[in-house]
Amino acid sequence: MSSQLMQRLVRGLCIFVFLSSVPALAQKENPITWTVASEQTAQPLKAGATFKAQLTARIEERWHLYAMEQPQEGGPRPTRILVPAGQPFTLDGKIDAPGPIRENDPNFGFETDYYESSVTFEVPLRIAATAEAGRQKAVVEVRFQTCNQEICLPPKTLKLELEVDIAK
Amino acid sequence: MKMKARIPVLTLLCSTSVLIAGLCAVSAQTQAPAQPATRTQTQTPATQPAGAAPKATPTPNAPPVPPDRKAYLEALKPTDPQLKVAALEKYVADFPDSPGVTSANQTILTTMIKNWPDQQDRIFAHARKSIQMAQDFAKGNAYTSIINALIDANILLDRAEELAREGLAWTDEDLAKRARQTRAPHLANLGRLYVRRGKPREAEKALKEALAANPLLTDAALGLAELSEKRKDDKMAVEYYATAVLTGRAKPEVREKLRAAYKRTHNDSLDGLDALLDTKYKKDFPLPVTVEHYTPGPSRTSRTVLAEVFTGSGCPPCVAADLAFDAYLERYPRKDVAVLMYHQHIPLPDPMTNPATQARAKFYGVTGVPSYAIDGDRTTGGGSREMTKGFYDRVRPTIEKRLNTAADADVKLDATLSAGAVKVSAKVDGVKSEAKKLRLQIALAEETLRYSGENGIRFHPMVVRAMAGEMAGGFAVEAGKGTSAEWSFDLAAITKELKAHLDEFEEKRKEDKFAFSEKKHEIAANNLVVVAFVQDEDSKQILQSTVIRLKPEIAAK
Repeated sequence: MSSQLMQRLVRGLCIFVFLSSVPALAQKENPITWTVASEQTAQPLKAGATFKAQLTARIEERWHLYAMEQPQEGGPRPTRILVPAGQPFTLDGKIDAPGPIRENDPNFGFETDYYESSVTFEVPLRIAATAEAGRQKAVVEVRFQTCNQEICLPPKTLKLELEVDIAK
Repeated sequence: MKMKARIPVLTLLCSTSVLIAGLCAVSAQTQAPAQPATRTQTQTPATQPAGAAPKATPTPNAPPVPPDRKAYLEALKPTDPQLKVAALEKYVADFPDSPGVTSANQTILTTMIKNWPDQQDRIFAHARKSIQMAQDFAKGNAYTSIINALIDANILLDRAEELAREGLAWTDEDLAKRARQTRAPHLANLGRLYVRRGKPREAEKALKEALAANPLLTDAALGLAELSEKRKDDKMAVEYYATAVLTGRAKPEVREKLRAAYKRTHNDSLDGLDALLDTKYKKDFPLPVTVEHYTPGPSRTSRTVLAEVFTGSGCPPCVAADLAFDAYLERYPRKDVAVLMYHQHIPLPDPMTNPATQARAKFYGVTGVPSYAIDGDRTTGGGSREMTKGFYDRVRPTIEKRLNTAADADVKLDATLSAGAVKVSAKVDGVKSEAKKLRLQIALAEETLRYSGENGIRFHPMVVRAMAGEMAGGFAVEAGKGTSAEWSFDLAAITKELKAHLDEFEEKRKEDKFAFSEKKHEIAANNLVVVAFVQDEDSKQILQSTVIRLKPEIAAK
């Protein structure tokens, strides 16, 4: 089934659940929720070690999370993931993002790259060699914006914290 | 090129890691804090959109239920089929573009089939009307639902066949249109490559086809501009660079190329370039609504309805709302309807945003744009240019109902411009409300600002530049007594504040290397409007509004 056909079916269904869907759609404040986690930090890690954190965005139906790169300028603000300075953790390489959906976006009149439903970004992190032993918080910042076909929400910046035990 | 394509393996891997991570997260909530396996997130807002808004705004209330939805809920209540059909038909007639119309029409059809299967002409007439009313994205579904209902009831099968053929033809046409739009950017790429590779005829064909399929396709316009430059045809280069600039998505260097090409064709002068862009915009992007001027009926009261619109020049779904309010400004004189546009940095930075517009958004609890309040009754949602007429038709009954609702106060307003300041005096009396938190608000707006933002709209009406009162908070009104207020809007000071806000916004975004393509802080003294209104801050209801347009001859003094 083509994506557009599927979209139309979804829209059609939404009409039939008008009673519940319209106000929910119109007033949604947080259609995208984020979590961060890591399998590797279940055990203490040494200073200087690397590990990967998984940032997962849950995206509600009919909303888009725009990808980190866009095929054309002048479109939506791309999602950005940063590791702020001032902590014993730094970004250690390229963030791994799954292939987005690329589709003609009626909002912008051209193709945009986006995710729907959910997406997980793999963020490689390095613990500073000089990091103090003990429990530390790795802070990852995500900046994103979202629109659907009826409304755009303000750009948001969220700080996500992951506790990491640094071995002595 | 991937079309709606994900990499399945990566998705699967990610899903797996999410599952594992999720298990870690659960353990984080159930184990003691000392456990080292506690590895999960906290999600905290780090920053708000830039631009400090004035303080002293009340806690926002939840937006009220939109009137169309209220009407739909009411129409579903009757259990008697005659009454139910009549109620639903009234809802459909009153709100023809409401999202519930398709559902209502389907309920009417199934009720008719169940209760009056012999009234086949009536049933088919309703089926035909339902399909005509369905918006494009719902039309295919409307055909299917109606035909299925007729098949299940085993009635009107010959006419159902007619509808099925028609539905198939409509689907073919719809798919072809979508295919043209989806192909357009790829065709533009090909065309631009042809330009670079010295194949002008092929380039022109591909690029013109792409631009015809999507007039907002900047790359197609740029390709044609580049081709025109290669042909030394500056006139056409101006035309296509202008097309690219009017999409609102062109890079600064494209604006420079437009200026250079324009100068080459106009004796090294830029005089008339804005006028050319204005004319071209009006020609290429006409208002997608036929406006009929409002004729007051016998129930018309003295009320001036206030429409407050929260919008963004970089917000694509704001287009339908913005254009519909343009149309209302044409339909109604200012003694009938006042419009105030509060620009927001949503989703992209908007150079018409200022602390007063942000404060007003906060007051209403606006969480996204477009959002609009008719006499304080707020709702949200817009759409694309194609959805303008639907928006216009949907909100118009609400405005006209308010025009027939008696005002709950009298507001007298006087405004003059002298020595670079707009001096305003306002008097409120005849207050019929007993509300405890009544407030007189006075807004200074510019009647039209010209700015091609990312959503392609060039003319922005009734742009709020400042609000009167301490912290832009207006003036208290005593219930039953009224108030008088005087305020002076110092245009130089406001201009300075507007610029400071935009500078501060750029400073906050400097690590993104963000810069406004144009800062709209200058205020034109011959373009000013003052709007005063009285509002109950608890219910948000507007008691009365009034507008003064500072005439050019007054402004010029």
